Amino acid sequence: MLFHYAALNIRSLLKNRLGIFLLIFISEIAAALCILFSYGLVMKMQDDGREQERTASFYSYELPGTAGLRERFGELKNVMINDISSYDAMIEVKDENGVTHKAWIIPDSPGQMLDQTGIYVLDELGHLIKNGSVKLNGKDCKVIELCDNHHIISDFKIPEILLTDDMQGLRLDIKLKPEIRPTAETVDYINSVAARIFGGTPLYNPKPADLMEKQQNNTFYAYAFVIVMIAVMNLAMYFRYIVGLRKKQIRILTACGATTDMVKNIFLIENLIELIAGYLTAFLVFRLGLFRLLLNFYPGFEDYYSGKVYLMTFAIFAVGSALILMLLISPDIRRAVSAGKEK
Amino acid sequence: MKNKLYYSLMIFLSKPGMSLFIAFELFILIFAANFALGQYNSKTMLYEPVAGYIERQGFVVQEAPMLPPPVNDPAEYRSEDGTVIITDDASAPAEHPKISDLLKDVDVMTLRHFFIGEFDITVLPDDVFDKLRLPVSEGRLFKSSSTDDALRVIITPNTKGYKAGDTVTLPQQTSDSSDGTVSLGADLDIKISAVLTDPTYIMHFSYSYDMSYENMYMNYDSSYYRDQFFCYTCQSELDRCHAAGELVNDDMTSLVSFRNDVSDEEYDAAKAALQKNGYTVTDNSLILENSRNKLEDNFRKLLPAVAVFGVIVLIGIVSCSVIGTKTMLKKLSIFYCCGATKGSCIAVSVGQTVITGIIAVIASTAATLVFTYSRLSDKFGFVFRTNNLLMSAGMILGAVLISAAAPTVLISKADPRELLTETAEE
Repeated sequence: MLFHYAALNIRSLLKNRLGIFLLIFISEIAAALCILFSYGLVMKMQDDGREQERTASFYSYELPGTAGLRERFGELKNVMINDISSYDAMIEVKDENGVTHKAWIIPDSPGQMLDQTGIYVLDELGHLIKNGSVKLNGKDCKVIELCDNHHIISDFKIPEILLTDDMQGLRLDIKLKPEIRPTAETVDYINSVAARIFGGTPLYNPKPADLMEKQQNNTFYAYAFVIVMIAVMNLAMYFRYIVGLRKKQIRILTACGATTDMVKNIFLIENLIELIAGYLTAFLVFRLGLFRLLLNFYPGFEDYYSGKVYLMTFAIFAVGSALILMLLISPDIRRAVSAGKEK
Repeated sequence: MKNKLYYSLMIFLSKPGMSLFIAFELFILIFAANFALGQYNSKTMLYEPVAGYIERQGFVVQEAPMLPPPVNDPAEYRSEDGTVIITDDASAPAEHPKISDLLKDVDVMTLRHFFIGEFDITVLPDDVFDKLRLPVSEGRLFKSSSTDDALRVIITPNTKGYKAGDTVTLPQQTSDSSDGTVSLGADLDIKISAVLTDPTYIMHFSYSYDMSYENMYMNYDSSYYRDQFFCYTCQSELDRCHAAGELVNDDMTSLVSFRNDVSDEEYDAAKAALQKNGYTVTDNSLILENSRNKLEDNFRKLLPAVAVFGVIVLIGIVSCSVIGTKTMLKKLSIFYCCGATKGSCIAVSVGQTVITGIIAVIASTAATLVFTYSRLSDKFGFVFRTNNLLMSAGMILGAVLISAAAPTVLISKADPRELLTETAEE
């Protein structure tokens, strides 16, 4: 019944006030596009922030071939550890297949003096592993002693890389422990050690924060908020205008026994039908047109949009506009209903 | 004319909600667009201070090696790949040829620096210094002309607790050429005029891991540089306070730009002269391109947001004016019945739109003034220039035209008598 009245209202708008209907419809499409765009913008900013955080203490080097590495690992004793280890660095070595091998480099465990220095591999509980087997990431791995106190986990394939054929294209990634902040001094120091010990050419170094990027991110957040706010305000203005137009109709409905809630529900259903149509159109415009354009400005933008995201943005759009609609037009409807009852 | 304006004002005042809403949207649009442009302007200021130098043919000369290559046997000071080996060898010659000596016929902008205690002060030419627009968290940037007794500096954020307004008296220094400290005849007062934001940029030619220069500025973050901080002052400030010759340690980085067009041979000869003496040289064009790319890339990212913003506001303005006019039509039809022509009715409606535009202009101007005088613009490092004014004027004009178009079409098409009949029926 209510749905029927809502459909009649839409038909009446289409028939008698097509211009107004089109304006409402365009505004709804625009509001939906704003929500879709703002969502991607905010997600991108957050992602960039996370990426910055991730790479804030990240070093990457291109390594010479395996043979060179093997030689250099042999030279590590008493040299490298006193250097790199003072920064509590974790080593990640990627082989040519992109498999990452990890090991923490520590000079000494807290409260424990070690008689020799070297690369030490820790298990997941932070225990030092020297020989034997250890379960790492659910796998039984054998720890091999390469040379004095230089231990590598076998299943992580480093021994093969180090001890067998010469391989090119290796990359060494060093990541500082989360509690260690990179400084200019650390960067210079680790670079010099990495060059001296591993012969690594730097590919990436931690960088100080960039003011321009920071300001830009803040601006994006502000813009995303204001864009959605303006779009919603445009919609709200329409709703009020429509209620104003239908005062006469509300009075008739009231005279026929309709309650305030029933009138509100008619408006809500009508709004929902328009929103669905508006959102679908916005979705098509976004996917078929805007999206490609935005990809030129924000590479990787497509990663933020999936079916789930579209459903979620629609839910936000529908619930948000229903709430605004109710907040804004409830007083107007109540007034119109009471006027109808008085008459 | 007076009457039309009066009626416009009356109509505006009788139901100001819709017009104020348009004014509000317009204000937000103008403010947001100016914000974006101000941000762009401020970023361009990163290279504008040195634009006069860097846009000409030339190169950036990297910091001189700590010790010069020996005159007799340069090979022993170089590794196989040509890297200069820094050595403590006391037998190395103490004098290093200055860039200015090597390039006598070339216009050279030098970023010279000196240490007084823990203060690492870089001296910029006045014209460069006056164009700096870096955002500050405390105090204000100063201009080169001054009557102060102390040496004014701007400073990066620091862990030492130095704040804007502080005056630090530095005692006489001992001479030590190895760390750059030089002797001063008397105590020197350093007045901190402004503290830059954290992070900020420092006027240096930033280098990547391989020490090749790639930008005209360097990112500075106090957590990254820890106890290290930098100060800036201008040449005239230094001249006023002390004999510059005594203070300035060495050329740190030099931006070399040729006064006139030079032949390739002359250019290569100048470059070779520097390289021969251990300096690393990077072409200006490369640095300029890198810097511009970075600025444009950042601004490009803002464009879609501003465009979406503009479209939304445009839709809002059009629909507001349509709805506003529809609401106003009944009043206008009364005017019509009282003898006013359709043209007068349109004029009254346009007058109302103009009032709305004026309100938006007043609001935007007030917001800009508040932004400037509350020092918020300093905090963000925003620069408002003629382009802001032109853009705002264009936007207001456009918005007024768009808002005026809807009433014009609606009024010219509407039949006032019918409208009045509808009103009477209601």
